[in-house]
Amino acid sequence: MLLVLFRIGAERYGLDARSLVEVLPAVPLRPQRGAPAGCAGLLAHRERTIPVIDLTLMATGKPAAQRLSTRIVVANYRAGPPGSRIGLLVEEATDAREVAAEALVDPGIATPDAPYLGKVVGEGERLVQVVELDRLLSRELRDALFPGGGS
Amino acid sequence: MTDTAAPCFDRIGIWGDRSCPLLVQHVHCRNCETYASTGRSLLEQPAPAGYLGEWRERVARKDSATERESLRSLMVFRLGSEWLALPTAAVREVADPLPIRRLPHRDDPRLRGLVNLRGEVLPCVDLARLLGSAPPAGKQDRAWERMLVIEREGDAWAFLVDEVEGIRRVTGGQLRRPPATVEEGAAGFTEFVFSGSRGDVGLLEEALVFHGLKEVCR
Repeated sequence: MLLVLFRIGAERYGLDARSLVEVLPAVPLRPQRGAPAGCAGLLAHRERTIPVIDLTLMATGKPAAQRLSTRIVVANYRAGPPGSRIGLLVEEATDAREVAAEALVDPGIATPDAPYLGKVVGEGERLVQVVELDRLLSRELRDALFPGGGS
Repeated sequence: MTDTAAPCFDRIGIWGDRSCPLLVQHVHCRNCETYASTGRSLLEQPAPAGYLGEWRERVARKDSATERESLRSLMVFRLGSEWLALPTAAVREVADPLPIRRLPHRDDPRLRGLVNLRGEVLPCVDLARLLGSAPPAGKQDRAWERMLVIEREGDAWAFLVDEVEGIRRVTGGQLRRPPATVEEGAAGFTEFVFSGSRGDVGLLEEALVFHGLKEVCR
């Protein structure tokens, strides 16, 4: 499977490319006042409006740096209402890697505070951890961003 | 590699004195991870002025790539007064009209005979009759007449058309369903209708046309 790689803090993470729509530059977003923490704002995307989550902010408490390599990954959000999309603001989304599904192993450490962290795979001397899109949003965040829908 | 020194590919790499030990393995610096990460480090800086604003506008608009995906390439031609189209992928060739040899003991008016296309013998059908539309009235404008060769799964047929307009690219949004009340003639074979440069064009349903052709040549 193809992983789109990015960085949170110093560690590398990956998103399954099958659920992604496109990768965009980190264009200015419309801030949404009163939105739950982690929500970076709203993006006008292809004649629709989609919420954007700052993964760096969600995981580390600091917003993503404003660099060219910081990008918005637009993904189909299956845990929301049908057809819903979500933007993920991530740092250093400059690379993608094809990994064999068998190469992915369970990290062996439960992360109840970060349920979205999935399996890990070795990539060179580093480890890449898969971020599970379906488990990314907490219940509060999901209810706030996709009211009245989802499982 | 430090910021002050020239990058390694300029010193010991392919653009330097080529003494880098990794060059044996990579042959060219562009295959080396150091070169790739140097290139990627160019992205570790703020976006140039105006860049993100321009992208914001572009992202808000409809995606032209998805529109391109739904583009269909169609060969538009005329039979009598009717403009019709077939998917370009089904058309093998547009040729000058060839002499048609009639087949003895085949009195199906839809099968006009055989043509010899550069040594290949092809059945030639009367598409207007096959579609059940009125035979073209008046043959004054013969200068435009062409022979279309269409092919599917290795079987090829030829038929005469009164004019070939050419290839049109049509988006899915331009295609309309033909009026349900019209079932006469070519309308039964028409999958969609779209506006052409000289009136409405009926896009023939490829599967139905080829099915009809096979019936004729059985």
